[in-house]
Amino acid sequence: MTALIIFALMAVSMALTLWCLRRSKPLAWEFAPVTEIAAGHPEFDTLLDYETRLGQAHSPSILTRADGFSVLWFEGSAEAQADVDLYEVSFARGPEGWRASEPEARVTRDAIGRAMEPGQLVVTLGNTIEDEERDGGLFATVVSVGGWAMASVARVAMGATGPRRAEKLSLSPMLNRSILVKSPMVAYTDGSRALPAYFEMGQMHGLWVRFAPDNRVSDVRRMDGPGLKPIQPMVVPLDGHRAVAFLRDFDVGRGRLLISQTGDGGQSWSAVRETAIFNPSAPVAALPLGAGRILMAANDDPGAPDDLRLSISGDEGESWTVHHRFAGEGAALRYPMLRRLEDGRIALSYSHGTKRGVRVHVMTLGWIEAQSEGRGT
Amino acid sequence: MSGPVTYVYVGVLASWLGYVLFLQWTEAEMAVVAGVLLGAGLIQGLRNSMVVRGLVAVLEPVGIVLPLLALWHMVVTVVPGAVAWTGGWNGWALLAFLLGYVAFLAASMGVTRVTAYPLGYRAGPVGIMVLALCLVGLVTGQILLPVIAVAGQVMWTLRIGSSNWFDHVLHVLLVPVVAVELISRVL
Repeated sequence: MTALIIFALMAVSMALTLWCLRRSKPLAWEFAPVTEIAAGHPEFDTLLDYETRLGQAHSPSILTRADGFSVLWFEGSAEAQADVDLYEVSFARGPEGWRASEPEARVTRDAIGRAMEPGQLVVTLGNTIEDEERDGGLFATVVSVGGWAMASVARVAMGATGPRRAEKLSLSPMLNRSILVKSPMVAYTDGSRALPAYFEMGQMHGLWVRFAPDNRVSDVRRMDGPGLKPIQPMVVPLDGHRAVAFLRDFDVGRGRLLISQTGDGGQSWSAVRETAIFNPSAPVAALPLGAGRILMAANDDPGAPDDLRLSISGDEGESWTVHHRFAGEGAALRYPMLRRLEDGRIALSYSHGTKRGVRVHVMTLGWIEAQSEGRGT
Repeated sequence: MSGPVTYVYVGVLASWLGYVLFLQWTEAEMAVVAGVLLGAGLIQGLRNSMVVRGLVAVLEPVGIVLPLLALWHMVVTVVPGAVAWTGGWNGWALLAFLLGYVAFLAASMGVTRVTAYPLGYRAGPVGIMVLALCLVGLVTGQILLPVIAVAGQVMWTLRIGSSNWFDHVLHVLLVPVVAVELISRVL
């Protein structure tokens, strides 16, 4: 009798497997072509210089739209506290220039907890980025218990007044804990996108997350390096199959930016290694400019680790020329994000005053190239 | 769909917890009834409470393995003859599972460069693993193992809950559960 039941179960399993194989579509592993950014007339605007009254405002990210963009950050008494919500400012460009909305709480812990499937407690929120596969969607770092080591990434569908539906991504057998996001997604030729994420417990490592057409996680690859603590991968595609990932070393002592590369569209990543570029254990932002050129915003000056500098590489990241410096003036400028806007301008956001506020600039590549701090690294 | 199913899972676990508590004062049959009433009441009446939402947040993804083991435990206590039909758990097999599972978790945390967890996203490897567990059940006369493997595959195929099959058939709470079971057998 037992054997008969087990044979029946095996038949059910084989039928399910055949069904899954028939309906599953293989993932494309070729990066979408990089949009070349034209230099344009030199322009630079500061759109936001915000300072919080609550305590900390940190980790701003840029969400692009056809008519402009918005910037979203987490704000509360301090990071990982039970009073942190996500705030947003929208920017639209009209004939008279840029217009900004008032900062407002866009995603609260309570609202995202109610939108969760299944409904659950959310005690604090962290780094959040745009879900570029869905209009208005977000990937939010959520914590239900404990601190960042217990964080999960939730895919959030937004409605007019806040989160409509949210679901934690299935990324780790450790209850999906200790997974966070920081950097923007990367597009593939089939229209899908990959999400750079990272695991922040024990042997830290970067993750490269792919999704099936039904929005569920369908593949995860790793970026790891023995003896290193690589987190917050910032991935820049160079052509259809090659890309470079810049990673923060969580270990403050080494003081170097980390790097990993892929030559097969992200299916495998080289062992993470140190570069010669100084880094005070802080994430960097980077943007492909086309033809192997990369723009980077990083705290890469060992004499002034609080300053944020804009550098351009003309040889796929092998060497860099510094073009502009944003001075920290005694407090750290951190967590930069760079995004290309629809009109070809470049938006830069970062936190200033050691997490006391958020600053947003919009510039053209022509303006950056015209700046001449001019030191190669 | 994953929301209601998770509440059912948590309800079963709460029932089992109630059953274990009531077993101190009453017969097994009464303890099962009282436990099921407690679990159902908790999920029905306190679904939006801090307790249940916190429990879901801590346990998620719950998976099918813990509820099935809880149900099995209650059934074999009330109907002792059921063990002969379903097959028991061999101590060495439990030890091998515990060591293998801890190694699996450690690999997923980056201790080794290779981890088996991503195989749980793909139909082919999942199908092979389920059939392998069915064969183990066939050889050992243990029916619960194939039931868990195939039930997990059903939930995974129907896209209810996690997109990784391992999350349906394993749960980190199995580590203390199996460890306590092994220690109690040694004592």
